[in-house]
Amino acid sequence: MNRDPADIISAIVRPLVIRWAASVLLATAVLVGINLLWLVPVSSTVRSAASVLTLETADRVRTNIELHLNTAIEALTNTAEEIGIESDRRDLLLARLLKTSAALEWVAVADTVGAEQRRFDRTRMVRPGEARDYSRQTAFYLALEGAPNIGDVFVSPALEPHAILAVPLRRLGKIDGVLMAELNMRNLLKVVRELRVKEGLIYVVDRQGFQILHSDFSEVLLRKNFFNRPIVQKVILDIHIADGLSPDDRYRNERGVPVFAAGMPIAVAGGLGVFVEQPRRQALATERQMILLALATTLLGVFAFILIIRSRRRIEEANIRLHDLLFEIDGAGKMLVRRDLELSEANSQLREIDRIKSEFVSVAAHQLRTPLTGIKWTVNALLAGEFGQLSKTHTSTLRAVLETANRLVVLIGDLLNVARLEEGRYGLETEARSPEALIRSFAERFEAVAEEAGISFSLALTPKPLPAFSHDPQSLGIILENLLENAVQYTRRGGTISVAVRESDTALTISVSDTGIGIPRREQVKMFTKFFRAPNAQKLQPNGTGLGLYLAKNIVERNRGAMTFESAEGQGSTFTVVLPRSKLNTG
Amino acid sequence: MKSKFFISIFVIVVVAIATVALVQKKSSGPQRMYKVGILARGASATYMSSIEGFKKKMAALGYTEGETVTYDIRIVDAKEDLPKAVDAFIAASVDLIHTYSTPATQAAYKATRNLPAPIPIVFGSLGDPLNAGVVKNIQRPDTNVTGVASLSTELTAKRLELLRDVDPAVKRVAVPRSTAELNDAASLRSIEIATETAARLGIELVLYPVRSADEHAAVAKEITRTEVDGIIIPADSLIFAGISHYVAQSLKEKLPLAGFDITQVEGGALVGFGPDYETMGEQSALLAHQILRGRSPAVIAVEVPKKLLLMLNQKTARAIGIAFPDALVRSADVVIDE
Repeated sequence: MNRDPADIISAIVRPLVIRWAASVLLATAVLVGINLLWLVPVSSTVRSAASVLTLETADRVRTNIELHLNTAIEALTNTAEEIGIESDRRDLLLARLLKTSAALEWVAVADTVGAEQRRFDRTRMVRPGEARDYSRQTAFYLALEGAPNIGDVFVSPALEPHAILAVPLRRLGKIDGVLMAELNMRNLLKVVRELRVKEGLIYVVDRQGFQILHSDFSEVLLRKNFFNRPIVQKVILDIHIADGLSPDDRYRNERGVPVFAAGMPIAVAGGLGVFVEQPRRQALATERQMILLALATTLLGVFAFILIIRSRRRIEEANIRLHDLLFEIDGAGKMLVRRDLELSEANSQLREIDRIKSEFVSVAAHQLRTPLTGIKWTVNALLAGEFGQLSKTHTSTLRAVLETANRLVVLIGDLLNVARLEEGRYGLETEARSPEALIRSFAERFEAVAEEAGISFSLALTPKPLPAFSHDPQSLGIILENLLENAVQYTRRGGTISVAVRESDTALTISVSDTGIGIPRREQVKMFTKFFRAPNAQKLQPNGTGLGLYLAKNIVERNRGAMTFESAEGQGSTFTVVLPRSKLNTG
Repeated sequence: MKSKFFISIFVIVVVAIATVALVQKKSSGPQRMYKVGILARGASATYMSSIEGFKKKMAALGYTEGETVTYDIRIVDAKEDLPKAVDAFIAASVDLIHTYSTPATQAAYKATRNLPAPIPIVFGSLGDPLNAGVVKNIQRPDTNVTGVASLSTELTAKRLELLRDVDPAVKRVAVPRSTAELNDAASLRSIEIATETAARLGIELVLYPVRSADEHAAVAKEITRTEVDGIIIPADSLIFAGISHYVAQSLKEKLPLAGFDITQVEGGALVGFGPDYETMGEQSALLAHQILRGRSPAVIAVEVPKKLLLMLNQKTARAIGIAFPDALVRSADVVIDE
């Protein structure tokens, strides 16, 4: 089971490499293929053009050589014929031949065994004892067989290319001697020198492959042999034109430079061959440029392809990541929906529990209020002395009991009201009347309480009597009760409470301001929550229920009004209630 | 799937490159195994040296014996047996027949000229191809035959002159030859040239006819100093094959003998003038190479020897009591003195 790490890496890397390499190989193959589509015909055209140019040069050399040699052979043949007809004028004809053919160094007549009978030399007089023997000259024997011919080219003592010419001498149709001559081929040197191509050269070889002419004649003196070059054999043995386009025509020259060469056979002197060569980089420079262009475009194409592949891979990876993200979001969304359903269900359950609780509170409150009323009635009867005179201690204790019972009555009343509100059973019993009397009665009641506590109390009503409008006096009473009771309870002795009532066409605004302990800023957000009491309030009045403001605000809102407050700890608070008149009117 | 496709492309490219490389390599040498039949009349050392020169040059041209060329060498003494040897070559479907001597070339030509695809013939030694009737023109044979003319017929005159130069007192010269009935064209032409030259030089020729190889010894014994002053060898393959008998007789009778080949001079002939047969063999190989490359022999000009040698044997000269003229020694290509 334990796999070699190298195997694991190989298993991961190999498919990637194969995929990458395969893609790049395919792209390269396609690009190479596309480039080959234009490169092959262009290359072929360039090579053909180079071949034509090179062959044209070779052909000009060939024409010059054939013309030069054939002219000399023709002159010899004509003279031989004239000698055959007029043998007594032989010397005159030989002298004339030498005079009219500037390229001939000497002319001579030999008998059938090669012994020289007469010779004229361009440079000097030939003496009788200087007769030559031509019996070892190949050209002599071919002429003896009836074939005018040119012997091998050789280098003269003056370092010029020379060749022996021989034509048969016939008398009465029978060969009875040979007319021999030595031809100077220096003019041909000039031809191969002048026709040479750029950075190239021209050379001529004989049938054995020996170089007999060259753009640089010093090369000829080295007697080089190029028979082993396939192109040379093709030309001098097969008598075929080598156009330079065949693989056989390629070779490296003596300096090891690859050359572009073309060759042509020359049908004289036993078969010669002329070759024109040029460095391939020069002859096929255009082709090389085209190849480089194709190479560059291929490389650029491959590079671009790699970039595209890389970009595509990145996009694919981004897509995968996006897909994963969407999948996660989808999962989260489904989870939220599930949670929402769960919360809704929990909320319903809570509502049900709240409703049950409210019902329980309502029932409990009702059930508590009845015995509490009995307790209050009994305590009041005791305090009234209906059951006998009480001592001061008993009276004091009973008064404490009554006070506690009263707080419980208030608490139960608040709980019942809260339960009604939350159960939606809090009904409004509206009637069209002016609230002024109600406001004044509460002001008077709490003014007395305030005076008792050493607090200054003031009521500011509008100058005109408040008009009648539809409202629930009990609700307004609960609101005023809670606001004024809080003001009195949380204002220290010496403080002030002021009640202001403003009226407009659309609303009735009642504000209760005090200079009490105020509400700490951080606690203000929880001000209207059920059972909330600020710490400073608890410290001042431990017996509060924390339901008053909650109840008042909910009743205001039940009447489609709004309740706000402003407060600063230690400086006092102002609670403002706005009740819309139209709404009140509609009741 | 994808990787298989690319591996296939890779393999195709490699195979294509290898094929091109192989084709290019092959094009530089012989493309197949060639069969060459070599036919010589008489086992003369002359022909043997030429055949060696031929094979050597063929090897230099890239024909390796046993690998790209095979040689079927047949040495036939009797002229009437030559057609059988040629038939064997035809049956073996040789690519080329290489011949030595006029009768051998004529036999090959006669047997092949009417074939649907005449087998090309390259003669390595033949006195006068025009006279032998195997070519129509020296420069353009227009038959399935070309080769190297040995000049042995033309050089008959030179050999006679040479004999006279060595010993100006020579008046009667012996010429062993095939009988006229054997109808050896080269021999007949050679005797014709010798007769003309002898007449010009004021020499009398004494002809010694030979019917077959069996008669060499007997005929040679007839050539004595009492009868002649010297001996020349004509262009006659029958005589070439029995040259040793005539050389031995010349030494015995102290007669100057003019031959035509280095092997004859090395064997005791006093003088010789003729082609370098090894070089002729090389020339023949070049012609054969041209033909095997596809060129028709009909358009390949007959060649003559590139190299002609004047050969002297000082030992023989001393043995028979002759001193070579200084000018002759100076112009000699080979002087044997051992």
